Amino acid sequence: MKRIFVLAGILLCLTVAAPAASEVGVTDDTISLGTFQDLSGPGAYLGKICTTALNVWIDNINRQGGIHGRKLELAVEDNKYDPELTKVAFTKLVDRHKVFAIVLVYGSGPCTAVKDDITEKKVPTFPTMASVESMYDPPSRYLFWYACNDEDNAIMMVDYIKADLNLGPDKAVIGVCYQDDEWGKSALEGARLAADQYGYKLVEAPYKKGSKNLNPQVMKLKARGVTHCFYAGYAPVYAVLLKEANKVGWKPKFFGDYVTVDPRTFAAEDLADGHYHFFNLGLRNENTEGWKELEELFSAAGAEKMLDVPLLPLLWNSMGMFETALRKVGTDLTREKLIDTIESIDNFDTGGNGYIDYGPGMRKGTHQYRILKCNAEKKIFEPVTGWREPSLKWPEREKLK
Amino acid sequence: MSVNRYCVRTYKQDRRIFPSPMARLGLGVLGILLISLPFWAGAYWVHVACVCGVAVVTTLGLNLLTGYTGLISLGHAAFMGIGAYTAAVLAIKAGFPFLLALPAAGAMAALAGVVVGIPTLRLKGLYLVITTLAFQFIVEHIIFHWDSVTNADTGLDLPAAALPFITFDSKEKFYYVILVMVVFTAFCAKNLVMSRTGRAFVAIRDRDIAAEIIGIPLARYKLLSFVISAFIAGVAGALYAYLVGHIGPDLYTFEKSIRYVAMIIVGGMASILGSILGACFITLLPVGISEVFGPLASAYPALATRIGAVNVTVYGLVIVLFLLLEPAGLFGIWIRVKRYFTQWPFTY
Repeated sequence: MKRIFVLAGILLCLTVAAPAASEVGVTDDTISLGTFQDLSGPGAYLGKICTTALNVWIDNINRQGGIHGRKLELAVEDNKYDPELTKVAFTKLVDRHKVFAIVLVYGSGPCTAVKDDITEKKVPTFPTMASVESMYDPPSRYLFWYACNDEDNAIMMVDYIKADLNLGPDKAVIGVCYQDDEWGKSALEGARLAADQYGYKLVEAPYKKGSKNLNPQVMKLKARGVTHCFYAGYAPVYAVLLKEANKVGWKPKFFGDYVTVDPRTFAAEDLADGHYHFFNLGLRNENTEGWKELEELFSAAGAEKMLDVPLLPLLWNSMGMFETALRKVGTDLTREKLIDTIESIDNFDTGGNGYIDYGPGMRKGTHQYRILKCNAEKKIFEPVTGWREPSLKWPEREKLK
Repeated sequence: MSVNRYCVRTYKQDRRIFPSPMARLGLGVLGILLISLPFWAGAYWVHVACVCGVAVVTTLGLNLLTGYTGLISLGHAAFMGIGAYTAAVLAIKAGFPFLLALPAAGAMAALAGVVVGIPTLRLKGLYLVITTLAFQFIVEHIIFHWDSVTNADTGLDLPAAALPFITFDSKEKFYYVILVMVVFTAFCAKNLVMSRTGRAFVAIRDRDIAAEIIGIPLARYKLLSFVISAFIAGVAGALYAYLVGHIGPDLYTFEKSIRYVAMIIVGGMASILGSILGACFITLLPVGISEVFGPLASAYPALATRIGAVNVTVYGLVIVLFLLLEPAGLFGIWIRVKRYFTQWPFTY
């Protein structure tokens, strides 16, 4: 009997002394993060922005001693914006690099290609900035979305026309000029829902991705008497739209989506002046605390050029929230605890650069936007409203579809 | 002297697919390596091997059309796309099992092959290239805009491939499906090119008028080549769809068609082994480059985009140098290496 007790005691001691099973990608000294970026494909400019921002973010944290003494490490894989290569890159990050989490990824095709793998392998991906709703609908526990949603923005345009401009269905005709993909269709869907709600007439004018000639779209929208037109697409094409509208003497009010809050919009010069834009981030010309921090860190890192990118806070807000969550979890860092912590963070302070918020079953991180007006003379965008949400909120509005 | 493809004494030896004992031994060793790969290579390399396998199947089909019959196609990714979407739609909407969805995918692509093949019977060279290019863009357009079937750029999610007794719910399991398909396709292709049909293909490629004079019906064999090649591409497309579990328009673009043509050029035209080598080489080249430059991009994220540019340059440079220095492709190198050993100590 005595021997049994001694044996049991030894086993107990061994069990207690055995090291706890550590989380993948986390050691006593490091936390391994991974990302797939387009470093040599059609979206290489995005890859450059994201890798630079990640580099500045990691350097800043490591300089301060890391997260609870653990330094951050980053593995970067080039996906060339290709879904097939993204699948390979994801497998490499998970299987070879054994990363704890994947950070700051984008691209509808690439992110959709690995969406199921993220859930299957249970790798927190924070955030994806892909412009497709399937990133958060239905929500996956491991996939967090943070960007702008054109469905939200198109609803807000109709809200603004109705409530702020006081123009009823007899005085305004809504138009939507959009790139004919999921991104653009999302804008059309939002405009349709809101137009139906208030009884506005809706005219749609899709254009093919890559198109540089919007004359047929402009002629159609003009002929149908469109007075307020939402635009979903890239900034250079938006500038083309403004020039084309001017050429045929059509003078509606344009509402550009978040991608048009870009210096390239000023290629249209004074034609861009006075038109509206939607944005979920703080602006550099507002001189917010968040932008001051960005200016300080990016200037010190010799990356001043990145400060001209209005979407920079989109990256910084999300990485700031990720850092906060890592710190809040404490030393016993696991993927599941990290996700629970991200869900529990309320009113994350972005330094005046917008809002980011998640919850159980809520993976859509953006809910609030502002409407901006373009000041072409000063080459800036200025807010004309405070932070607001669309009248038809997600996911409730899904029932109306 | 040992018996090989270039030194045979009987017709029986000539008809052998693997003519020498060394070839059979090499094949055996390769077989053991490939079968055991999931046990020692890890998920990443298994995935890369699966991608290689799909590329090999596609390239085998394309080489029958372009390498053996001399009909250049710049629309092979479109055939793959047709196969992939057929398999996906049948599996999702009609509940087709994997075993039926795969041949159905090939059949639909083969039907598209007939549709493309018939008008191109009178076309050669550049005109045929333009026609297949147009086909590629038409298919891309249909995939992107036929929302109700293809779900546009959102794409379709496929269920895991399954047979009555096993579900291939991991890459390691599905690897064996792809391996079987690669071996089966290579075996069929090798047999085909050694048959009367294969010789007819070669005759058409070398001089179609002469082939017609000696009694080869050009229309039938050209169409047959298109149909077989498209069928194989369709099956490969379906295999790829099941491998990735999700398909979208970005997977079957013109750029992919170009890549398959590059595979047969680098590997060696009109060669089964060349198709396999070329597919593996072009698939593994970016993977290999990433092995070298990837750690650099991770260590110096600030230089990541510049490293990406170097990556692309090296990729292009390797292919250009290959074409300049070894026009016969990898198959040509393989033959030279083999001859060196089989004819040693003689130089020729």
